[in-house]
Amino acid sequence: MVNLAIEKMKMMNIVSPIENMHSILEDLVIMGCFHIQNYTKSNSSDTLTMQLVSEAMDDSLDIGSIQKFKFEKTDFKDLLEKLSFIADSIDMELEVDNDIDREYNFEKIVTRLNSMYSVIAPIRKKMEDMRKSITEKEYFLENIRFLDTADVDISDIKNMKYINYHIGTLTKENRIKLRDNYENISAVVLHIGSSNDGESYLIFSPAKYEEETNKILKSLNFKEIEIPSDIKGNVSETSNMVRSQIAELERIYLEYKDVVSNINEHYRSEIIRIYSEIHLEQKIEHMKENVAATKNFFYFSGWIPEGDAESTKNNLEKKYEDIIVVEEKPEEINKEFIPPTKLKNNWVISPFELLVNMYGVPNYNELDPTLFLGVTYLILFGAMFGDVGQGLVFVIIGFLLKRRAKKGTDAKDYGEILFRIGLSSTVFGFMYGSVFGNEELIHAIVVRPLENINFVLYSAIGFGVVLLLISFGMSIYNLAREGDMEECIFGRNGVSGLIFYVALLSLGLQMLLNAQLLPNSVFIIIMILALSSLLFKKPLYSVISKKEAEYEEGKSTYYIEGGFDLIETILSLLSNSISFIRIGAFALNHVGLFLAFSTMAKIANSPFISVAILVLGNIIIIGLEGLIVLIQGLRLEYYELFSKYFKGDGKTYIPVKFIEEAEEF
Amino acid sequence: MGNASKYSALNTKIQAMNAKLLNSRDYEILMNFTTEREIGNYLKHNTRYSEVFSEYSIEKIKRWEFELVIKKQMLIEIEKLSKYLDYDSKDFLNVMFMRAEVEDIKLILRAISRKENLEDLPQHFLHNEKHELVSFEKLLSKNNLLDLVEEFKGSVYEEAFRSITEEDLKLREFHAEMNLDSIYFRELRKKSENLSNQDKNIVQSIIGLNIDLTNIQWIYRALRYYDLMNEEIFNYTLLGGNKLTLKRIKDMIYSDDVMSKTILFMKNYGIEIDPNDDKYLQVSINRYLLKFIDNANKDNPMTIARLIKYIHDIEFESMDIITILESIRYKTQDIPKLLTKRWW
Repeated sequence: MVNLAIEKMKMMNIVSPIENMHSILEDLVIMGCFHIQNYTKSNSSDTLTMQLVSEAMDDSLDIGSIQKFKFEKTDFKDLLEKLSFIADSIDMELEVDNDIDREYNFEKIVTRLNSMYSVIAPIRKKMEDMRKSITEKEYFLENIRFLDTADVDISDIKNMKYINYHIGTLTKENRIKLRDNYENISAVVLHIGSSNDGESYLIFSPAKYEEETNKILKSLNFKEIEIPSDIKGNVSETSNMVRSQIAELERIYLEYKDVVSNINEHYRSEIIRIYSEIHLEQKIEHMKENVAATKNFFYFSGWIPEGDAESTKNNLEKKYEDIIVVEEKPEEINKEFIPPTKLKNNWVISPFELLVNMYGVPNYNELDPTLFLGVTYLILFGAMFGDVGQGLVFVIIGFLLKRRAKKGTDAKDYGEILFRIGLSSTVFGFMYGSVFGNEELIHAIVVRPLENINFVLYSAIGFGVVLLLISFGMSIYNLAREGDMEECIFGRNGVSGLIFYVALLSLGLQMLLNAQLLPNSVFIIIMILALSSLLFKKPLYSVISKKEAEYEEGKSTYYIEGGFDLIETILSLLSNSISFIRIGAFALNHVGLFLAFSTMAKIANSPFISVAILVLGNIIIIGLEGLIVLIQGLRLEYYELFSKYFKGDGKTYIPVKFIEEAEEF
Repeated sequence: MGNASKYSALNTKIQAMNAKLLNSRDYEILMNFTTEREIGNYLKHNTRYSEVFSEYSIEKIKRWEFELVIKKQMLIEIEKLSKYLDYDSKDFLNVMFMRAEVEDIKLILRAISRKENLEDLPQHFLHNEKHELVSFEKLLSKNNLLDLVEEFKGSVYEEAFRSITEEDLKLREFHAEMNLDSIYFRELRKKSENLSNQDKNIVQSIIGLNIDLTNIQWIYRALRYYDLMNEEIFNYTLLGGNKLTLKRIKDMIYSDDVMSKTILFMKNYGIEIDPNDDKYLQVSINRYLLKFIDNANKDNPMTIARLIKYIHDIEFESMDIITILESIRYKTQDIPKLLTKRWW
């Protein structure tokens, strides 16, 4: 039996002395099935748990004093930065080790990390300084290389008495200003080349105008390049000297690098351990943020799948003496606590959860629509895009995508979905007898769409009607479960709506086939009755439930709105049904589009062009029509069907786990 | 997408926000107050500033906090409006946030040059972390100019600091400031390139005017207050003005009667200036700018002009409020003459 229900949840409340908190939370993280229920004042006071707790503990647990647990937050950011700093220097990736040694002391870890950091950091600082000095020297080289050929002794330039020199760079804008105002400047300006940093200039100015020159250069944002003091000889000698200095620095730098990576190599396993432990600690701290506590006890609650509840409870009670674990079913507790939704579907269908979640997460009381959506979507897509060859292309793309994508990511699910709809398309391809648009290669098992247009269109509507009827069923079931009997019986998506729809269909069918099961007037009377129950649902329901009907915005507004609602109901039921005609239309369109390309191929002059047109046609059909059909299928699901029976206002079950799926490698 | 549909949502929003700008009655009331506390209370309880003031007690608010809150309101509103823009216009509008960032960078520079502690600085910051083009967290961890400059490498601001020294910070505050302004204008112009043609033309004419006005003000102040060589004055001017090309600037600076030419140039813009009493200079420049943008808005319905107009409206409004505050503090007479928005 296929199960459409959502995984049952239990609320688990844990009370224990505050000393046990860390250890218990750690256990919960490792177990990885606990969905945190945020602490609010109301879920602690006068609940079953608290009564039990007070009875069980002699200690007069002062429930009044219970409040959100306050604690000093750990600066994980700092720790992680240090870790990645160390890991960075040996090019290692930080990853969490699943197999964690749980006997650790977090304070010791922090101390150890800090001491490791204090060994590495100064060396890295020194290396950075060296790097900087190398960059500076390279910068200098770059800017004087244009003078390489000049046979000038640098120290001669430096020692000039009446003339001062400047080497440096200017930006584009300031070059323009210098050029435009050159005649007012008492200096010789030589352009000696260009570098990353702008244009390089060598400037000579009379020593007695030094101050003015400096001011002018400053106002031009001139970036001066210092000639290192230890440099003598002509430019090419100088360059060589600086080059050898750079080489020397590079050599020392590499030595340091070796030293650092040697040290860190020792740390490698320790780093992974520390990282894993910090990771665990982070998760624990996240849980702590939702803990409530009195002076001596802490209180924590969350949701756990029914299947895991018993073993979790046993494990905890076995390990800790003074712990109270109370389980409650959702029905037993305050309605304001809504259990999270965990969908359980087999591997064939589960990728379609992505499409469901895109619309909304089913709430805890709803039927899980994934199976229905999955199966119908496969059929819808296949019927609209039935082709053996093109379907296999989707299969291959989907396969590659799911292979490449990481587990737990959306891309993976998209790959899986593509793979499945590709298969469906292939199956329908056999039914239609079409391979890459060619209808001569294989026989059609069922029908060739273009040769049986009416059949295709009628069966599309027929299929749609079946889907709508199933949706009605699911809607009635959901409404009944939710306890909304008024909507369930008299609502447009309830029994009344269904009766109206069936009567409408029967009448239509009767007229179409010229048959006579019941007189037309009978159907019309049924329809009128059904519609009036829609309109008078409030008063009718108040009669059944023996409660006074409540009109939120007054009686007249209710009936005016109700009247419009009726018209909308009739129209939307008709349009919902007719809407499914698009399945047939797209099946036809698929063939028609190919027909256009194959006609072009036929009238082409050379066989080469014909083949090219056919290939191009297939690519366009796969890309463009494939996309359209994907969307149209989704539209039918979301708009015609989901709107009938699916609310999607639930929240996802996200347990706190040591390693999240997306983090797994 | 046509401009009409592009701007319909934005312009509707602006229209609604326009109604909440201070009007002449508000101005009248504010000017008649005699204490800062009264102004604070009025703004807090009767105007759209109530939200930004909500965290502050008017009794305890400090002077600088008061001004900061007023300026922050402007950024909040720009942020609000940016939601109604497409990618390129949003990108352009984001440069506005750069102004706040530049102001805050100037604060850091000032603190560094005075060797002050940087710890207390962040509370004076106007900019929003979200729009940072350079990490302030890192800037604040530096305690000397050299390290600070290192931090700007690779950011848009790098160029402003390529030649800066400690001495510049003390003796030539304008050095860093003019360079930062030049980067700001360049960034504005760059981002405006991606706007639609019509928007681009409007925006660039306003930027060009702004540059002209900044340059002419710079020349005036340099002549009047700083002892600079002509070459320096020339070199610090910004490129890209509408009317003041490099050549015209040069002709002006190197002429014998540069001051009278400067004043004449301003006069052509309708900016009257008396060198012996130039406290109205900024206001008249602002007034001219506002008038120019107002006309641009009227001539170009359904364009970005409306947004630019609104931004200037709120900016000048905040300046006016601060002026009123100062006037009360220093007991200045003739306040209306110091306000950009002219209701009288």
